[in-house]
Amino acid sequence: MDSDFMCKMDIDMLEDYVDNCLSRPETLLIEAHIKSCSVCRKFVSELKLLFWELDRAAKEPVDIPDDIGSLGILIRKAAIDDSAKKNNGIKFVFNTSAGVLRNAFSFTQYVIPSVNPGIIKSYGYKLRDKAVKSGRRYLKRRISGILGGKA
Amino acid sequence: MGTDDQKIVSLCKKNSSEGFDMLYQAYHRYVYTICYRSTYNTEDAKDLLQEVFIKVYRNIGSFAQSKPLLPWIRKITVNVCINHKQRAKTENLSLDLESFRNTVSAEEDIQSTVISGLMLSSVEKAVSTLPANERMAVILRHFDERSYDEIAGLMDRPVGTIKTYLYRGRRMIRDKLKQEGFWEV
Repeated sequence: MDSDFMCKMDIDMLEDYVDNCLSRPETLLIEAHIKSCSVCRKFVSELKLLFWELDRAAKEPVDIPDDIGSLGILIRKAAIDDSAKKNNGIKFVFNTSAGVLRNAFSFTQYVIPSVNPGIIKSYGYKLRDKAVKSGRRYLKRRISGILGGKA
Repeated sequence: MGTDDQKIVSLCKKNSSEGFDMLYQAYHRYVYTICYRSTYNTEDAKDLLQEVFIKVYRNIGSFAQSKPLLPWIRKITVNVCINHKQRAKTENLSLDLESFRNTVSAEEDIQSTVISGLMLSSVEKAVSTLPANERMAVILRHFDERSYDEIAGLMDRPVGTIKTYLYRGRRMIRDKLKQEGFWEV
């Protein structure tokens, strides 16, 4: 309760009056009261002024930053990819490991042709594919071992 | 419930990127506005927006397709905003007088426009520094025009408690405006 509010009138009722939440008889009661009570009249005047200021602030448009649109894709990726990772733990580990091997040998294939492009290019591809296949087999064996043959 | 909502929910349940993007496009402005009003800080509002949509995306699988999306998204937004720990400082809400000089034409009363702008800034600052529950109740009532019952549902509190939050929140704003000497009736 306001420390300077020196009237016995229910202050919640005065708030509801300004907020248009009273029935018609209650509204008439408050209107009759504030005609004769300067304390409540002042309280209601201040509250009406505050409502007017809040209403004005509410009408001020909020500037939406330009990068909010692109943020949507990042949020989607963060939410969906993370949950995909959680749902496919073993598969995720397996595919990531295979990807690492593939990238490592793609890099080798990229470096070697600069020395002798004609011959070593095809060798680089074969080597990479062979390594990926054997890497997959190795990972599958290891994971099967860990999970007791369930992978 | 709009057909768009049904389509969005249906696509999202199939994990379709298109569905998630449609959902974001349909509701991100509304969510950002609530988040910004809750913090008056662009970076904080973006963080909150991100948190809201991550929660929405991760839980839409269990969302009933026959229901409208907005009340559910609004409720998540309210919870995220209430639980957000405010940064020590809100953005500088003081008015950029230079921008005023650029926007106010010569015929207008510059002094009254500046005072009006400062007043608006003070109201926003006062709202942003309210305790979390009072702030959210004021935002939902005065900025989002929700009824007492709706606010009670969104904040999981009885109507009486919501009225108390509003009463306290308004009193704090009034006191701040008085302290700053803006009005005295």
